[in-house]
Amino acid sequence: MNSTRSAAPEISAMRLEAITIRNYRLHHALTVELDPARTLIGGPNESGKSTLIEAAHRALFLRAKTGGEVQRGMISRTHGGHPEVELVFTTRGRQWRLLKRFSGAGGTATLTEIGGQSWSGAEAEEKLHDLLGTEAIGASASKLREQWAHLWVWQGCAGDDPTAHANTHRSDLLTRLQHEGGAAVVQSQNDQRVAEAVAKRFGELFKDNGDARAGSSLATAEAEETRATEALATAQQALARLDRAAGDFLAAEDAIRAATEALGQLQPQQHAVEEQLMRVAVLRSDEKLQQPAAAAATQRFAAAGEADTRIRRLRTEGAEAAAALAPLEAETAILITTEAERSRQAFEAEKAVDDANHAVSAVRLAGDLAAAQVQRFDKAATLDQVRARLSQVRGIREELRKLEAALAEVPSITGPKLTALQKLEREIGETTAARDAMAAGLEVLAADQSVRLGDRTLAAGTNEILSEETVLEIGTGVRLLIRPGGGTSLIDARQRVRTAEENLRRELDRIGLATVDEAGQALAKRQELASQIKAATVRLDAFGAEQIEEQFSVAEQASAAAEADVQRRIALAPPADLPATLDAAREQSRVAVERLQQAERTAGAANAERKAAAERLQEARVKLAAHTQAIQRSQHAATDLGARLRQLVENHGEDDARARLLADLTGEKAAADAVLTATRAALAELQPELLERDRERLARALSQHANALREAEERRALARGELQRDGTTDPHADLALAEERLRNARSQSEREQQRAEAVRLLSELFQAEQRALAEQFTRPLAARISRYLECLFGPGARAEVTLEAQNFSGLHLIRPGHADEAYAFEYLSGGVREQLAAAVRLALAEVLAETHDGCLPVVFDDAFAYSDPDRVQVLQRMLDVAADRGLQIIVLSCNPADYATLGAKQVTLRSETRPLVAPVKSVAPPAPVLPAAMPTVSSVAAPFNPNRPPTPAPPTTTPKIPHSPSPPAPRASVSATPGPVDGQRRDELLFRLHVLGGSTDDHTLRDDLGWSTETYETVKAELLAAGQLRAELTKGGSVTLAE
Amino acid sequence: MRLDCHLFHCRSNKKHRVTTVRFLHTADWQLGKVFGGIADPHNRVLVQHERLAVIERLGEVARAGGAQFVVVAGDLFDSPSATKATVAAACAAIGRLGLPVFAIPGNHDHGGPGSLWEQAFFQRESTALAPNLRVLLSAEPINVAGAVLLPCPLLRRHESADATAWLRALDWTTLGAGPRIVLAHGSVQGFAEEEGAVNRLDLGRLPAAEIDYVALGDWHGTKQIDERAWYAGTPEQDRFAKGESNEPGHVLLVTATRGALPKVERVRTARLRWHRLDFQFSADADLARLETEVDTLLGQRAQQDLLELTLRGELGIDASTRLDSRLEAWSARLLRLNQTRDLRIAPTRDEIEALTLRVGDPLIARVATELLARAGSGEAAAAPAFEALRELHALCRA
Repeated sequence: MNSTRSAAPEISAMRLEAITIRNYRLHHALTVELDPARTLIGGPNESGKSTLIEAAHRALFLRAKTGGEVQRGMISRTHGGHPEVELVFTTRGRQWRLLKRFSGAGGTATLTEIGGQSWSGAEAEEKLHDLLGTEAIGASASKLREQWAHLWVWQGCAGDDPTAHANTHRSDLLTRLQHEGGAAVVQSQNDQRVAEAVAKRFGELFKDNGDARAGSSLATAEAEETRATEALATAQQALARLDRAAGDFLAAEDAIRAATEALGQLQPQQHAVEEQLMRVAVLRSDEKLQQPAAAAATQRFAAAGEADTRIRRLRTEGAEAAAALAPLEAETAILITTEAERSRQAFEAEKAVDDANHAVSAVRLAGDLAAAQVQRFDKAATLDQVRARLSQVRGIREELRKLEAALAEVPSITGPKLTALQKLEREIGETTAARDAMAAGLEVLAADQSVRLGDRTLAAGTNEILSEETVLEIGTGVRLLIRPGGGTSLIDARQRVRTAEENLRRELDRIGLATVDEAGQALAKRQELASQIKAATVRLDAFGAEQIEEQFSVAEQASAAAEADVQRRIALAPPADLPATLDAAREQSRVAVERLQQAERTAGAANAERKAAAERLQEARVKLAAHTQAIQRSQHAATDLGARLRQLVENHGEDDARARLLADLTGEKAAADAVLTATRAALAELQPELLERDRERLARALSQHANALREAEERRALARGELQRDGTTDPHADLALAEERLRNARSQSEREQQRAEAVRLLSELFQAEQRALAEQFTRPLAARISRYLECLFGPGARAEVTLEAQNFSGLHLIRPGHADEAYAFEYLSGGVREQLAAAVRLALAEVLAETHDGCLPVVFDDAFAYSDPDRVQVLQRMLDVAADRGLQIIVLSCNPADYATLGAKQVTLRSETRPLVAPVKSVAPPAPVLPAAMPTVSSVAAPFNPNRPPTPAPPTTTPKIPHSPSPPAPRASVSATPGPVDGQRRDELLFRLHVLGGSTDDHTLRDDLGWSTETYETVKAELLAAGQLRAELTKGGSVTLAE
Repeated sequence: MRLDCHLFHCRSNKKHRVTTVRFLHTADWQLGKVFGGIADPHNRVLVQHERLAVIERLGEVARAGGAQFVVVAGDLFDSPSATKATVAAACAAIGRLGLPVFAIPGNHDHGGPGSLWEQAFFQRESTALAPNLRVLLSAEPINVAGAVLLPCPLLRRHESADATAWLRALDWTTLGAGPRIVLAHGSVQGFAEEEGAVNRLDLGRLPAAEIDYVALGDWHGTKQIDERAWYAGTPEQDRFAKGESNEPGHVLLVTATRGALPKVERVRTARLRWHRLDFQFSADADLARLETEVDTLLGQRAQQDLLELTLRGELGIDASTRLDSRLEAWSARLLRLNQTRDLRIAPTRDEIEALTLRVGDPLIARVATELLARAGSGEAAAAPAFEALRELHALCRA
């Protein structure tokens, strides 16, 4: 930490005053003068704001001889000449002018203390970095951008965590902050060493999650404790098995003892029961012998008793049978009488039936005759009807024949034929009319002379038609030839008339008629006759003419048959009278039917009576037969009883003998019963059923105890087996060892834990103390940041920064109204992030500026892209406060209006439409295609991409850029002796030559200046004349600055 | 002793009726004990071996004292499941004694189911190597070598019944003429109450006139209980003894006569020394005193001593480091160093100042100050704080 005590470089207030760039990307020549406190550089996208500020940064931090991509990226695609940047700035109370020409290995740097010494090349770079307190950086663009990154807010980097920049300037910052914190304590090297040793010990013992690290003494001890615990459990289990087996053994022994004891008690009981059961068997055998003897005695006694009883019973039965026979015989006589009476009644009923049947037969014959008579009359009438119809049919047939004959006489003419004739007749008329139309008409109205026409004389009133030339003679002397008109047509007409007439005549002749009228009449006659024939035919059909003959024949036969039937029946039964008419016959038939019905009813009644009489007779006969049988059975039984009684008495003796036998048998039976009863009583006394059960019960108990004994013996054997050991191990000793091992492991583990806890404690305390120390440094910085934050978020807003292991980190924002919750930088919104970052940068700049006489430039290049307009307004308070505290605030914005309230000096860059052909020197761009305009975002997103094709659009102009075709750009504040144009050019030449190392060839210098040969030579000549330049006579010519 | 022995033999021979016998009373050999507390395996083996070696020394005592037999009052083995290696070594040692050995099972080697005594390998080894050994597993009188032995074997580890109870109902008239020697293992009523309610022996209920000697085992110190009853104690100490009166490491040479009080002679047999030292530090200078005390205890010996060291009081950080190095040195000479620490490592004033008054190292000073504050809190946090101070002290020195 000695570095913190190292003296800060003596650097005074640093302010940028003017930036001039030439041939730098899209800028041909541009000078911007900066306000010492607040400058706002506005301009639309692509107007080159970022390029301008980048150029200034490179002038400060990039070696002029830098080549490669970085250098190429600066070259203008549209303007000739190498990129140049010129800065005017103040520091250490002096004004300085810095010019860098970036032309790769030939790059030049010149640093001039205005009004004083001048440095060039490496010396200039060295001096510059001495002034800035930095080092020059080579070609790496990323390294380059780290320079003053805390002060230079590059476009797109506004939201980066600014604590990283703080770490870059940690040494300076800590020096300043320690200075501010008063007598702040700083950890010594010894502190550091011990803290690191503690951390190392902690790391050896613990993992990040606080668990013991594998392989550490703590983990080893813990693992040993675990293993020892497991080993103890194993040993305990082994011993427990042994103890269990011993327990089992003892339990089995107890069981064996108990079972043996029980068996000893049970066996005598079993013997006693068996003895009693043997007695039972003997008694049962006795009983088996005594029982039949007793039974036999009883049986004999019973048999004698029964015989006696039977004899007495038979006697009684015989008497009863004799008494019962007498009334039965009296009843027999009654039954015989009844049977005779009923037999007579049946005979009479039979006779009545025969009579009735005869009557029915007679009546039926008479009825049949009457019906035959009716039939005969009926058939005869039918015959008469048929005959009459036959006669009528014959009449009609005669009439028809006559009509057909008449029809045959009428000429055969039909309707169509008549029509044809009538047509022919009309043709005659028509032809005649045609002929007459052509003929001359002649009418004799009055004649007093004879009028002769041809051979005919015409009387007055005669009307004649002449169809041919005819001579008319009137009187004698007058002969007139009358010639009808028409010529040959008249002849044709006459011919047609004749033809028509012939046709008609021929037709009429064929029919045999004279005229058409006759034909009409003939047709009418035919039609009438035909009509009559049809009517007659219809009548015939109505009479059924076809069948009539057959009907007649049938009727004749039927009539004859009926007549024959009648005759046959008369012969069969001659009637009293014969009916004369059909009606009489019918009346006779009706009467006969009635009579027959009467006779049949009578016959039915007789039949029913006969059937009833027969049934009654049968009943009487059955009764009689049954009764007769019953009497016979009773008589047989009585006889049988007598025989059986005699037999029994013969067998069993008379009453006295039987009585004696019975008395003897009674005594015998009583003796046998007494013996049997005694035996049974003895058996009952022994309770044989219970004895049997006792035997089973004892057998069961014995078996159970024997089983228990066997099982216990098996268990004992099993336990003994388990208890037998081969002596290779000692479970008790193993347990003792395991217990001791666990005890040792535990105490070892406890010791290790104690040590580990000590290390943990030390580690925690060191970290806590280091944090506390760090806080002493961060507090003033946080306080500064908070002052800026209060501008943005109101009173109470503050920031937290931690310094851990010499690194700034953990930037948090605490805002009023947010529950005082600290939000980590990375979790803030984009807008708030860039605001907080800006506050931190300003605070850092403020701290660091204290080594620069309180001033450092801070550049914000579109640094608040995510901030809403309201916040941008508030931001200006913060920027203003920063400027008041001595910082030089340079804001670049494409919306300069947003910063209108900052009260800054405003510089506006403008986009310009630039002709595709470069005005001064055409440098063919490498890119084959030149887009008309680049999208705005691309310039924002990748402002330093050297591969980006140059925008062919607008060269930028500012109000300060002269419209003269060649640079240099005018400088408002830097030019020491402002004068006429030539004066400026002379200065320019001298300055460029200085940049190029003070000596170069004409071509290079002219090219560098971008002038025409004429201008160059003119100005060069003036300077040579003024003695400010020396010409060298080398090949191509060269110039050198005069001493 | 040799003379006595001679006379004893003469007398007994002359009377043709032996009423006096001489024998060794020993117990608690605890053969096969593992000594798990000894971390060093080599030392552990040494201590284990010494238990067998002492049997040789018993033989010497017996031969010198003219003992006719040896009685072992229980716990011949440390475990009822001793390994066959232990059994073989034991039998070989017993066999070498060359005179009858009568043993009863104690609580450690009880005669319950699966006991060592019924294992085939024991029977095989004892038959082969120690035909002079007779294990008395039944509670019944036996007449041997002119004496009547009344064994009270333990048939389980924890016997709730009094193993001597059977003697109360014994018909003493049926016994032989020799002196009556009871062999029992357990705690005597009124003595060692803390042993619990098992394996209790109520000697007061025995008919004193009928008994001539009670050979007891279980208590590892040699101790007389009454006129006739003795604990022989273990012949080679096997643990740090409790209390001043405890005197393990002996064997008893007993002369017993029927109807007379026994004569008992105590002979030391132990080789290893088990020390206990309780030391109080009141200043760092006490370390020198401790060194003197320990050195005195150990003398010029090595690998023969075991030390249980209890350290109390307070010690500075530097002194504690020195103590550790001394302990390490002693540990090399000892078979076992068992430490009990009630020792607070408290930095001395100088040490405190060296840590806290470091003007150039503010971080260390602050941490040390905080640790001191915690160490002085007297709470649970104090112990790690002291340890941390030691650690910090060491780191600062490095």
